[in-house]
Amino acid sequence: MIWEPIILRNKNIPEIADIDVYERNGGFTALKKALKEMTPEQVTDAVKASGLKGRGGAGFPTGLKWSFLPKGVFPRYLAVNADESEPGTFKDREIMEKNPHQFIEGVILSAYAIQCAHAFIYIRGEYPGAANILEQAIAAAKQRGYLGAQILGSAYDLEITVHRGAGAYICGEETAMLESLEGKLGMPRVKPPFPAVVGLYGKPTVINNVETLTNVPPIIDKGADWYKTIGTEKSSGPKVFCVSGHVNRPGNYEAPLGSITLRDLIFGAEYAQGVRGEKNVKGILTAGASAPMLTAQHLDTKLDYEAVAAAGSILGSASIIVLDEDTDIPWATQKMSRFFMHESCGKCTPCREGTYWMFVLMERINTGKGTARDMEMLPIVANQILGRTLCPLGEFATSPVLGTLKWFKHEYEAKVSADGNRETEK
Amino acid sequence: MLSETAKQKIQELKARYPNARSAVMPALYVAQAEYGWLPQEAIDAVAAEMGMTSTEVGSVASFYTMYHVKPVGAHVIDFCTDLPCALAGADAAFARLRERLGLDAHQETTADDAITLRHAPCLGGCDKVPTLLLDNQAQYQNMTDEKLDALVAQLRVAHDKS
Amino acid sequence: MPKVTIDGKIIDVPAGTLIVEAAKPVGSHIPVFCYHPKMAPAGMCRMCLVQVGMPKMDPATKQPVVDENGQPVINWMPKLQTGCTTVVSEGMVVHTTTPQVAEARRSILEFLLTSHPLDCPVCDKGGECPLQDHTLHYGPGNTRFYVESKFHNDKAVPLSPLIMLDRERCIQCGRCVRFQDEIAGEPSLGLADRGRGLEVTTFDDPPFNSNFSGNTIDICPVGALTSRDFRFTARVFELNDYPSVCQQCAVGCNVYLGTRDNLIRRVTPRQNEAVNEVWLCDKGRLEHHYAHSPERVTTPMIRAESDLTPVSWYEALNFVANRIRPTLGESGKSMAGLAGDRLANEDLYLFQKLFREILGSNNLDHRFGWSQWNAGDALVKNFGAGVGTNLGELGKGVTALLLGADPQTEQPVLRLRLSKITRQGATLVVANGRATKLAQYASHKTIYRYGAEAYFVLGLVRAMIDAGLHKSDKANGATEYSAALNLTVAECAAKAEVSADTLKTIGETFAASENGIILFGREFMYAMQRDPAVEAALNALLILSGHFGRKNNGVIALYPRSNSMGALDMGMTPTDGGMPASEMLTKAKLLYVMGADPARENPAFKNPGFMIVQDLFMTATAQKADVVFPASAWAERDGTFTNTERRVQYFARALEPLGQARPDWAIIQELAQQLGAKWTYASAGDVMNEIAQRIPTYAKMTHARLQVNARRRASVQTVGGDAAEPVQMALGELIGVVSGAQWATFSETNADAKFDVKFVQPADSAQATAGVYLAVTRALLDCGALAQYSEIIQTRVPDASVEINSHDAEAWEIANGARVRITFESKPPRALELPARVDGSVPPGVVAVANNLDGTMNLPMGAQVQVTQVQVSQAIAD
Repeated sequence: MIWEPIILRNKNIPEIADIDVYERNGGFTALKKALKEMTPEQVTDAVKASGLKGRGGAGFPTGLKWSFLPKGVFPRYLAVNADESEPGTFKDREIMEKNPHQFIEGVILSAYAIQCAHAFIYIRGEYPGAANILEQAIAAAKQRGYLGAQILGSAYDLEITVHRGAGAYICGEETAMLESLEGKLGMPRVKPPFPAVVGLYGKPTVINNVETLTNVPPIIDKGADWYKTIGTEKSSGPKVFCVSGHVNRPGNYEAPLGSITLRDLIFGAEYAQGVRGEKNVKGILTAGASAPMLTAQHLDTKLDYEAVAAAGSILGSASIIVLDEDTDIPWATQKMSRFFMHESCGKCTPCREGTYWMFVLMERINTGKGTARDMEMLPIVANQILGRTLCPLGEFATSPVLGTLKWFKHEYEAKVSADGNRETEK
Repeated sequence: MLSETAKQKIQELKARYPNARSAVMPALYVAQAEYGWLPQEAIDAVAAEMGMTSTEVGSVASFYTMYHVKPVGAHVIDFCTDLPCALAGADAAFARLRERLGLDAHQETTADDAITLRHAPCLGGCDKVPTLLLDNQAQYQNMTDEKLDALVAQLRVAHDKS
Repeated sequence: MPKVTIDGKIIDVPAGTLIVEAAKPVGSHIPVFCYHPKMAPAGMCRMCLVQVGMPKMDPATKQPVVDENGQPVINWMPKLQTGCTTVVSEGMVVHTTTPQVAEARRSILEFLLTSHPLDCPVCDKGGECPLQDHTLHYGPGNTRFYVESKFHNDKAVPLSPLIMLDRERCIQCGRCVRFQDEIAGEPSLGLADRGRGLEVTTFDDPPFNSNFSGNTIDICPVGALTSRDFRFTARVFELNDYPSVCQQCAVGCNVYLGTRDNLIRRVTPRQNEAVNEVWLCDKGRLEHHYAHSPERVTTPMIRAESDLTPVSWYEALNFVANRIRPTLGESGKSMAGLAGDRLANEDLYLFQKLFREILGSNNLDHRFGWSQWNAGDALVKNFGAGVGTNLGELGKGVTALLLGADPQTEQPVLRLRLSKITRQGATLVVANGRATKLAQYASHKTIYRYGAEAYFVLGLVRAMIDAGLHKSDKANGATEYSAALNLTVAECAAKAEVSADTLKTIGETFAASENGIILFGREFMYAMQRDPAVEAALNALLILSGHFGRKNNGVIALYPRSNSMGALDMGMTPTDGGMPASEMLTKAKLLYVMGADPARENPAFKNPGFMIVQDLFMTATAQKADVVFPASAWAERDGTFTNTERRVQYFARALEPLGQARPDWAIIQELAQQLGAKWTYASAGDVMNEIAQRIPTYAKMTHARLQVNARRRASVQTVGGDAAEPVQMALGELIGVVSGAQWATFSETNADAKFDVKFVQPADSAQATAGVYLAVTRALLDCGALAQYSEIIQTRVPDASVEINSHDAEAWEIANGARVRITFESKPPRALELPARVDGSVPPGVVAVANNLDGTMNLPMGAQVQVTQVQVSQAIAD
């Protein structure tokens, strides 16, 4: 079965970033329908009924999230998380660059559903191109009456502000994003209170990911029942999978959740077309650096939230990084440890100190200074972090270490010595 | 001194948000574009425009890696060497580029202050490796050695002219 | 109230209580670093992790599911929870001592210590360090980190003249940064960088310039922030910490004087939740240096020939007694006594007793500047804020109205406390002739025209009456008043140059509020002196609003000095036709000056025929004296001060007196005895016993009663012990400590009393004429009588300047920093030349000068001035 993309419509209609092309292909019909025929509650109900879950990583039901806003408290805000920074993730980028109007339409629909008059798109600073495209898309939408005051002649007003980040992975954490948007250091807040109650500027706020909101126009346009036919019962809808690493054709591929396996995605002709140099798969990361590594034995895992979890990892943002049989696993782990050390905001002790300690251990092991004692310490330090951090970043930081130790301990052991004085090739 | 245009731009940015303080990040970009980096003077100028203390502004600037609180070259290349890129050979490309630029072990900026080369965390260009961000302005992807050399040459020419 | 179980003990706690707080009364100790009860929870350090469970509920019955023993089944949360961010709820079960909790604490401490330098032997915090203490109790005995990988940071970084930062010791708890932001409202400290590189820093110039900066030293849970004033002068466990009361302003912050070898090494706040909570301003922290100044007068002196010559006490007292004795009983009228209001109640009481009972003179005063400071004292006596009022706890149902006050410079810690009341639900109204720091926290803020204060207040009264919100049950003449008040809200608004809506809103809000407090400051007292209509209007506002005679209602005058209130209470005012200061300074034949320097502060001062000066220093007045008595500093004796809220507070003796200096009360007694009095006070406490008997409001206010909670700091020797008070203070573990006693006002003790309201037509002030209004303000840090002896304060004293509105400056073509000349229409005419500060905090038509800086003393209040530019000089730093 060849899937016709609903999200990455640019795959079939390359010019869809042109608003005329988007309109000719059904663009903004969902918005017209919602504003003319549906109440905000009906839009929310449709999204609830569709079973759409957040595509940013946590997989929380989107419609349910919207319904958590306290009644009668205004203003309220929609903050779109476009701070896509997980290593190996580049799906929101393609959506924003290549299919921006559908995303913007999704933002408007969602803002309408929660009755917010000012939405913010927090886009990572390293995406200047996408930010410019969004600014243009917003201007175009405004010009055609899809945005601004009295949208399409209705009583509904909406402004969208694109806010550029400036280099901080942590701002992908929703409360850190709000802090950053308020002009502060991007450090996560204590929860509760949750953003739905006390969010941006202390007001009720919904935070949704780019891909999530891009699902909303088709849901409104074609209905929740149609949408539910895509994917599995628990994981409905399509998903964009980012594939990178040792594959022949890295890129974004869209498929219904649960419709393909890791093997299909990595080896399928319409997907990544196999491992480079005909090598075997050694490790697979399914949610970038943040989820425990899987191995070749997991290739037949179905790609939906539940199946990946059953295999011992997390689908998360579906950023599949493939490592071939020749990959030095401790080396790859050090890359990831370095990333988390660099991106720890420093607010809470275990993450600030623990990510540094783990990196020191990884560096010792990879430079031949490692000892058996260091091997012992790796899981100890990771477990001292686990379950004690203020936000999930610290937990994520333990995944590369704990995940690779589970399957590839022998590779570590091969690098350490009794006296911490081993010659290494690197 | 921040130019009048920049000051005006910052005031416009403040009006875009329900709470003016939100404009501090875009305001820092405005100041950095004028100064090339964010010396104390730039921090003070942004603070004055924003109605914040220099400490509040400086603290924000130092948290985010795309603000340069230490001097940098005329052009800044943030070169991704994170795992997905590294699997596709980015480390070697990075090392080669450093050599091309004549950078010593701990040096990030060329002797003529033309170019600063830094490791970047994942830039979201994992399917088009190597990938880099130039001057916070544009990403360059699929950067083969030839394309890298051409880019460096172009930046050098631009720097020498100015 | 939710019922929770903590370590097996069941306790009811108010809804909204955090686990860390709920655990305190049951004796479960939850260690913290980043949490401080005065600040919002941050959840940063993760030291307070505990095990939390909730009863399993039956979804059908909504009742807890019970096990076979009838006990509720507990669903334990999968992860440990931070006690500092988790609010208790009904049925919650908390374990703070399980192996998991112990392991988590060990882990966090091991993390914190990875890069800590462990230089405790040379660290000022050693001995009162939460990191040391928690490590002792909960930490690992060793570290598994690598010495060579320790993260090295800068040590001994001077953040400001007062604060030294050691970045290696810092554990990034953010308390200091959050204090400056949340409590001080001066965000001059920030966190820079991120991750392991996260560090405390300031980007300001001057760096970390806050009048509350010293508090960050106290609350720093490690030795990262240390005092450059105290560094390396003592180990903290060698200090004797004596309870005292800060002498710098009328807040009366409670402090400890930490002494070693008969020197004050440091001053730290002492908890008093009713006064200063756990805070202290930098002036109070640093000004103690004068006590040890080599310039102190240490022997009595008499003028022989033309010079003052050291003599014995016997000789000096005899000299004075011989001079007075012949005229006793007849010419008392020409003798006058002037005493400063920094002196203790015991001194002031005996001083006036000497004059009234021995010398037969009522020529007594303590107000000797250009102005009579304590305007409005009748208001305070009758309607002072009710006993039990706690200005830091004002919340829902209370409206606090500030008139002509700038607490930031007048009473800094009061500003801190009032800053938070809007967050607690109170309504804060700030009205003044210029912008002030506190106004940024106000629910309503307004700037009236200087000189129109009476109209402003009358507008509030009118608005209250118009809305029918006034109360007449305790007023005499309410109906007549209402008729006589021939001004509409709009007319008052026009005179005061505020909007009628503002007056209406404020007037109605204040009147309708369940409780109402009025605080007035220096600038309002000046207005009261200029026009009696101001006090009459305020009187009417109080009486007709009914906001007096009970807690959280009434009036508070922001008096200038530590015992201005006490001076009034002790009778240091000219009664029964006695000469006030303004007269005695020119007419008295014999003048006894105690703790005051009129020659410096009042240009009208004339040398009397014979002058006795009792002081710590050779002041300008002492230099003109015939006799000088060396007095003890407050730290060298005990006594009591009465603060601006009428709270009488005891301070202990912390030092041996310097040289032959004696307590003021003892000197007065010696002199009285020379003159034949049969006084036998053996101590200040004896004097206070008499005060308690003779002054009705001070009934029962003996030292013994006032010493409750004002004792030497406990457990200074118990290093690391749970009882170590400095650590408990730092961690905010001392709960609700209060000391001192407030006296009850007339309206409280006479519940049935009625009060006259009379309308007084405001005098239309000269402000309408040409010229500019001179607002006389105050700099907190100055070169005053005592502050001049602290080097660190002196580095932070601003240069005198004249503040000019930016529009005026443009019109007058005055650039920031240009030298300008201001000429007063006063008698005698005066002129000042100062650099201009154009920063827009004064409204157009007003210039402001702080009158306690070099060259700006003795400014006439409320004068019309002419401003001219004399030359353009370099811009001054501001």
